[in-house]
Amino acid sequence: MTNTPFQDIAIVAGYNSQQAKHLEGQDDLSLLTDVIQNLLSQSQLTADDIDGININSAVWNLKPREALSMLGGQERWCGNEFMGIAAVIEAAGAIATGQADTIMIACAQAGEYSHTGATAPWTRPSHEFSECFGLYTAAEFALCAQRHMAIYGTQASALAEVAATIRCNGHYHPQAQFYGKGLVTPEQVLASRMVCSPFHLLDCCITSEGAGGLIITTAERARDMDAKAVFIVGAGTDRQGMSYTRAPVWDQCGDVGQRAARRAFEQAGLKPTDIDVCEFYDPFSFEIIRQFEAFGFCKPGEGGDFIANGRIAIDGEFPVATNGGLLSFSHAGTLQMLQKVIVAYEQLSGKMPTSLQVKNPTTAMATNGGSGALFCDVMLLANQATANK
Amino acid sequence: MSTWDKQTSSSDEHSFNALPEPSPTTLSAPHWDACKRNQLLAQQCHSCQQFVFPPQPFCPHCVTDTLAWQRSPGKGRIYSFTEIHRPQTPAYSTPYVAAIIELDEGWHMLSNIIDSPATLLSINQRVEVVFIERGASKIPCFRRTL
Repeated sequence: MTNTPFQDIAIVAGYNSQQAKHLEGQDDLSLLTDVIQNLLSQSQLTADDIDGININSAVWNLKPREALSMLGGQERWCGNEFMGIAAVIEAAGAIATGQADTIMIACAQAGEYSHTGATAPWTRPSHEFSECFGLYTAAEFALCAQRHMAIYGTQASALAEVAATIRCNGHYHPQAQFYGKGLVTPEQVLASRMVCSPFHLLDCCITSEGAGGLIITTAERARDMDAKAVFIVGAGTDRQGMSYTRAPVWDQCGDVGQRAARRAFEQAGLKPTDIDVCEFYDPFSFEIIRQFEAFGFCKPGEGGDFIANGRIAIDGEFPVATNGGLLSFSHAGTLQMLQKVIVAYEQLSGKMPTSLQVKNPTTAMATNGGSGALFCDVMLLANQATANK
Repeated sequence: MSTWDKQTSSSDEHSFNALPEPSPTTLSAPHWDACKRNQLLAQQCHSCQQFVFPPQPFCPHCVTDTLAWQRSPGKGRIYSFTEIHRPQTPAYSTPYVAAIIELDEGWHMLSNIIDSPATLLSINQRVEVVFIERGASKIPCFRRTL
C-alpha cells in the first residue's frame, strides 16, 4: 500500500489546559508554559529535540517568531499560520519536505473579553460593509442557516438536536468549560433566549480562556518514541477571502469545504462512510448540518434529517464534537481550531475520558471554519499511516 | 523587556455610545459618497457586463480593469435575513433585522430591513433601498414593497 502524500507524519502528543470562562490568575504566557511543559513531559522529549515551533497567542500578540526564544535561541523552523488545521498542515509540509523533524504547535488565550454589553470583540467585524448594519459572527452564520431552512425546510428542532448532543458531551469532559453543568435537551435549546434567528443562546458557541498544543514528527521518529502515534492522512483548505467583509451568499459559500474535503479523501483513500469520529467545527449548531452535506456524508438539504435519531452521539454512526466542542468545551481565541486536531488525536489514541471515548476508532475528520466565515479547512487522521479501508 | 511583554490594557474598551459609521477606502469612497446623495452605486464591468460588490480593483469575473460605477435602482429581494436580539453593541436597539439583499441586477449586499417586524418578512420578499442618516454618513437600508 502506498504512503499518503503526507509521507507518514504523526502526532505524538496532544494537550489541553483546563478551559473556563475565566482562568483566575492566568495569562497567555503562564498558560503556554503549562502547555509546553506538558507536551515535553508527555512525549519524553527535551526542548532541544524540538526543531520547529509555531507557538502563538492572540491577546499578548505573541508571534511564533517571538516565541522561538522561549525555548532557547537555537536555530529552528518557524511556522506562521495561526489557524489550527492550517498550522498543522504547514508544519506537516515542513517535515515532509525535510525542513524540520519535530515541531511543537501551541496556542493560548486569556484576558481579552470582559465587556458583557456587547458581543465578544473577535466576533465584531470592523469592515465597512458589515459593521454599520449591526452584524457580527453569529448573525453572519444565521443568514446561512435561515437560507438553508427556507430552501430545504430544515427545522429548528434539528439545530437544537445538534446543540443538545454536543453540549451533553461537554458535560462529561473534565477539562470542558461546561463540565458537570448538566445534560441539555433539544427542548432546553429551543427555550433558551433568541440571539439572532434561528439561533437560540444554546445554539451558539461560548467564550473561553485556555491553552493547548501538540507535537508532530515523522512516523520513523514516532516509532522510536514511547508515545501513541496518530497519522495525518489527508488535508485541504478552502478559502473565499476575508471573513465578514461581504454577504455570506449561500449559493456561493454553502458548500465551502467541499473541494478541500474531496482532496483530503482522495489523498487518504477514504470516503465519508469510512470516518469513525467527526470533530467538525461547531461555532453554531447549523454548521454541523451544513458540513455533513458539503463533505458528501449526505445530499444537499438532507443534513437536518441526517443528524437525527442519535446518529451524531458518542455511540452513534458519526459522533460529532466529542469533547463538547465550541458549544461547551472551549472557544478561546484561535485555540479552538487547533483543539479540533487535538481531540481527534485523543480519540484515535484512546485518551478520551471513558464516557466520551468512541469505541475503537481508526479514522477521524477534523474541520475548522464554516459558511458564514467564508472558509473551511479539513484534516483526516488515522491510527495507521495508511488509512485505506 | 521581552518583546511579548504586555504593554497595553484590554483591547475591549471601546465606547459603545454611537452606532458605527462606515470608514470608506479609496476604492469604496464613490459608493459611500453616493449614499449621501440618496443613490446606490455598484461597480459594473464594461467587458463582461457583470456587477461587482463590494468594490474591487478589477473585474473578478473576466479580470479586465474596465469596472465603472453604475447607479442601481435599489430594488431587489430578501435573499436571507435574521432578527437580532443580542446587539452587536449596546448602541443598537433590539430587535433589529439584518439581511442579505439580492439586487435586481444580480449583486448582493448586507443591509438592514427597517419599518417591518420580522414576523412580516420572508425570503424573496420585495424590498427597495432607503437611506438613513448616521452621523455625517448615510446608510443604505431597505424596506418592504409590494
